Amino acid sequence: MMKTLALATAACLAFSTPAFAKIATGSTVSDMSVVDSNGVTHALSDFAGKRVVLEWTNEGCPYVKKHYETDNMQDLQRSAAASDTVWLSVISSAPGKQGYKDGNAANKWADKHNVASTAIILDESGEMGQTFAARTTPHMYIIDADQTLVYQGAIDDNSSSNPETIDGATNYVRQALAELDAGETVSVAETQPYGCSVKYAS
Amino acid sequence: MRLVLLTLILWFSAVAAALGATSLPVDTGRVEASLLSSHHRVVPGQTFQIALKTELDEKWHTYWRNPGDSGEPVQISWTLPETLSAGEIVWPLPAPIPTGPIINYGFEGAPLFPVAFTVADDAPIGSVIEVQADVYYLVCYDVCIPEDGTLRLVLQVAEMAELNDGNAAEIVAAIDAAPHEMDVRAAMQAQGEALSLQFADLPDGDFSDAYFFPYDDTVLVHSDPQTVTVGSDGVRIDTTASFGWGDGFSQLQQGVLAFDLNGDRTGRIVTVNPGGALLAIGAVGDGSDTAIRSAFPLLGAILGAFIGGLILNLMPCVFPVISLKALSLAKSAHAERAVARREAWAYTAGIFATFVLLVGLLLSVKATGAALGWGFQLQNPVVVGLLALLLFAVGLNLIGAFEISGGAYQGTGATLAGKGGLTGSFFTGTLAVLVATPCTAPLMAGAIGYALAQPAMVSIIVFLALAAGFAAPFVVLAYAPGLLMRLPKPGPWMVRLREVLAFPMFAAALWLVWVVGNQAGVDGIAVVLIAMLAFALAVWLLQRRGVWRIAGAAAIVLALALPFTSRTTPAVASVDLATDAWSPERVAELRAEGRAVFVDFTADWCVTCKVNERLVLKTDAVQQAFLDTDTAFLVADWTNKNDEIARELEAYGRAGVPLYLYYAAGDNSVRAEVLPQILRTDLVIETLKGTR
Repeated sequence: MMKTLALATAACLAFSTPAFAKIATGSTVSDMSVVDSNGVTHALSDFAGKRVVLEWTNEGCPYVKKHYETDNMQDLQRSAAASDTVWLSVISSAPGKQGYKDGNAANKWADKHNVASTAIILDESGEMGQTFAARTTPHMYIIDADQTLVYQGAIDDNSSSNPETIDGATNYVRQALAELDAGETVSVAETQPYGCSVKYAS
Repeated sequence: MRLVLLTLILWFSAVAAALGATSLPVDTGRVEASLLSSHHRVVPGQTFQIALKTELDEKWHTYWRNPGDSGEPVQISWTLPETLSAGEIVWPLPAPIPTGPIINYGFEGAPLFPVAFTVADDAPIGSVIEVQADVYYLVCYDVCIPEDGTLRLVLQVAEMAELNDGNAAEIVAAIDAAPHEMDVRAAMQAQGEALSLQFADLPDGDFSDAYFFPYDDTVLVHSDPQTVTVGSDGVRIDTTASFGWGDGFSQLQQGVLAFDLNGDRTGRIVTVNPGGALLAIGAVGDGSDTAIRSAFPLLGAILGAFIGGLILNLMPCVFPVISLKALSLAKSAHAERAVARREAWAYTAGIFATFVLLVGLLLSVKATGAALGWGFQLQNPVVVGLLALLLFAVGLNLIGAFEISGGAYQGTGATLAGKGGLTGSFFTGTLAVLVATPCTAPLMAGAIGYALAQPAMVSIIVFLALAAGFAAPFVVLAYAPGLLMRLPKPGPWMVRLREVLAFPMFAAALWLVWVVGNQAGVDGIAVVLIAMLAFALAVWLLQRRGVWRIAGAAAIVLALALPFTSRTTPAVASVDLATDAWSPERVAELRAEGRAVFVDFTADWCVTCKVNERLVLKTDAVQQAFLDTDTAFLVADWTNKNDEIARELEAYGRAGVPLYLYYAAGDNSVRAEVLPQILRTDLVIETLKGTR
C-alpha cells in the first residue's frame, strides 16, 4: 500500500515538474541511469568523485563538425582524460532524426573521428537531454566531483559554424577545467549555448 | 565558345543593371538570395536602401538577431567603396518557431533585410559604386545547414536620383512592416526564476497574444511560455528569467514586443528598464465574461461585489452561521427595536472589519511578490483545522451541550459568536466572513479578480462593497419595522430550531475536516479530531467544580494548540486514471499531440468547484464525452498554495477557483476558451464535441 502511494506520489511529482526543466548552475545533478554505445548502463552517481563533462553531439550538425573536423573537440577530450575527467558524449537525436545512431553506428563514428570520450551515451528518448535542458549541439556541461553542476553553456565564445573561428576563440570548457584543476572556482559558469537544435522527438 | 559565354555574361550583367539595381540571384541550397536596391542612380549625399532578400524553401527557417534556444542570426558583411557607408539591418518581425521543446526566433517565407546606405558628398558624378555582400545564414528545418553566398550590385552616381519602383515598393513595405522603435514605458524585474515584464502607454492593438523577443539572449528562457495579462493601462508578461540575471543587467535592454493590430501580427522595438519599478497595468479583463467590467470597470465591480455579497448569504457554508444571527435577531425582534439595530450594526462592523483585515493581509503578502488569491486563508491546514474546531464548538453550543454564562470562557470565537449582545454580533460577522470565503459566489469571481489587480485603495473599495452586500439583509431587516414584526414571536420553537441548526454546523465542520485531510493527510484529520475530543472533554470538565475546571481549561488549550501541528503534505494524486495534473508544459505537450485539453482549476475548499465536479464533470455522460472526443482532462488543484496556478488564474483575470479552460484540438491560439463558472452538462458536452 505504502509503495503504491509512494509511486502515485512520484508519478504526480513527475507530472508537475516542467518537461524541459533546467538544472541551476551550482546545484546537485539528479542521478539518472543511461546506456552507452556498448550497451553498458551507467548511473551518473557512479562517477561521483570524478569530474564529468557532458557534451551533446549530432554528427550532421555543422557546429559539431566545426569542432570535430578541426580536432578541437577530440583534443579537449584527450586533455580531459589526461586529468582523469570522465567525458560523456550524448546523442539525444530521436530515431529518424539527424544524428540518431545505434550503438554500432556510434562506435563507427567514434573510430572514424578518433573520438576520445569515456563513453557515448545513447539518449534516443531525449530524457537525459530534457533533464539537462540541452538545447544545442554542441551544448556543454561540467559536473564537479561532488556532483554539482559547475558549468553549462557553449563550448566557446564564437558562435559561428566556420571552423576558422576556432583560433582566437575562448574555449569556456578548457578554461573551466583549468580553473578547477587549479582549485579555483569556475569564473564563467553559464553561457548561452550555440549550434543546431537538439533533434528531440517532436 | 568562350567568346559566346563572355558575351552572355556581359549581356546578363547589362540586363541586370538595366533592370535596375537587382543583383543576380544566388541559390545557396535552401535559400535563393538577392540584393535589391531602392535606386539604380543615386546622387552624392543621398541615403537610400539596399535589402537582402532571401526566399526560403518551404518549411525552412533562418534566424533573427537573437536566434532563441539555438541557431545563428542572418549575417551580411559588406564590401563597399569609400564613397558609400552602410547602416544596420532593419530586422523583420520574428516569429517563435518551436522544434520539440526548443523555441527559436526566426523567419519563414521570403524575409527582406533592408539596410540604409549613405552616398558620400564627394562621390564623383558619373562614377560607379560596386556593392558586394557576403551573406551567411543558418537555415534549418529538420536539420541545420549553414549557407553562404556573395551578391553583387552596381549603382551609378548621377546628377539625378532614379528610383527602381518595384524594389523601392518592396523595401518600403518591408520597412513599414518591421518593428519600429516606440516610446512606451517598460520595466522588468526578476524574482528568483520568475521574470515579470510590464509595458504601459501602449499603441492601439490587441495585446492578448503579446510576446516579447529580447535582443539579449540571456534575459529570458526562450522555451518557456510567456503568460500575458492585459490590463486597461498596459500589459504584463510573466515568464522565466534566464541566467543573465545572475549578475543583473546594468544597461537598458531592448527587444521587440509583438502583438496583433487589425488582425495582423506587428511589433514595436521597446526599451526596457531592468530592475525598474514595476508599472500598474490597470484593470485586468479577459474579454470573455466581463461585459459589466469593460463598460464601467470600477462601478461594475462594485455592483458585482455587492450582489455577490447578497448571494453569499445563501451559500451552504455560510448558512449555519447566518442562521445563528437570524436566531438572535428573532430573539430581539420583539424587544426594543433599538437593540436589534445596534446588533445589526455590530454584525456589519464585524463583517467589514474582517474583510478589511483579510484584504489588508492579502495585499501586503501579495506586495512581497507571493502569488496568493482569494481563499488563501483556507490553503493553510492550521486555519482550516481551527475553523473546523470552531464550527464544532458552535454546534455543541447550539445543541445545548454548554451555555455561555457571563463570559467566563470568553476568548474563543465560538463563545464570542455564540454570545448574545454586541460583541457576539460582531464576532458572528467575523465568523461568517471566514467561512464564507470558500463559497465565493460566482458573481463575485470576476469582481474579486478585478479588485486584486487594482491599486490597494480600489481593492479595498470593492471588498467593502462585497461586505456591504453580505451585511445588507440584516441591516434592512433591523430597519424595516414591518419585516421585523413579521418574524414569529420567541418561544419554545426557538430552542428546537437552535438545536436543529447545530447539524449544519457539524456538517460544515465535517467538510472542513475533510479539507484538512486533503491538505495534511490522515494525520491531519486525526489531529483535528483529537482537538475536537479535547474540546468536548473540556466542555464537560468546565461544568464540574474545583480542580476539574483547571483540567478543563488545560483541555481547551490543548484543543486549540493541536491544529497548529498540522503540516501540509505533498499532494497525492486525488484524480482518477483519466485525469492528469495540470502544468503549462503538460498542456503544451498534449496540444502538440493534437489533443483537445480541458483544465479544471479546483480546490477542495471550493464548494462551487465540488458541486460542478459532482453534478457535471464526473457524470457518466460527460466522462463519456471526454472519452469519445479524446479530450485530456487536466486538474489544477489549488487546495494548497501554488504559484504557478495562481499565475495562470491571474492570466485569465481570476483571483480564485473555479476556472474551466478548453483548448480545442488543432487550434493554435495561445489562450483557451473560458467556460462559465457554473457548468451545465449539455454545455460541457457541446463544447467538447464542438457543437456549441
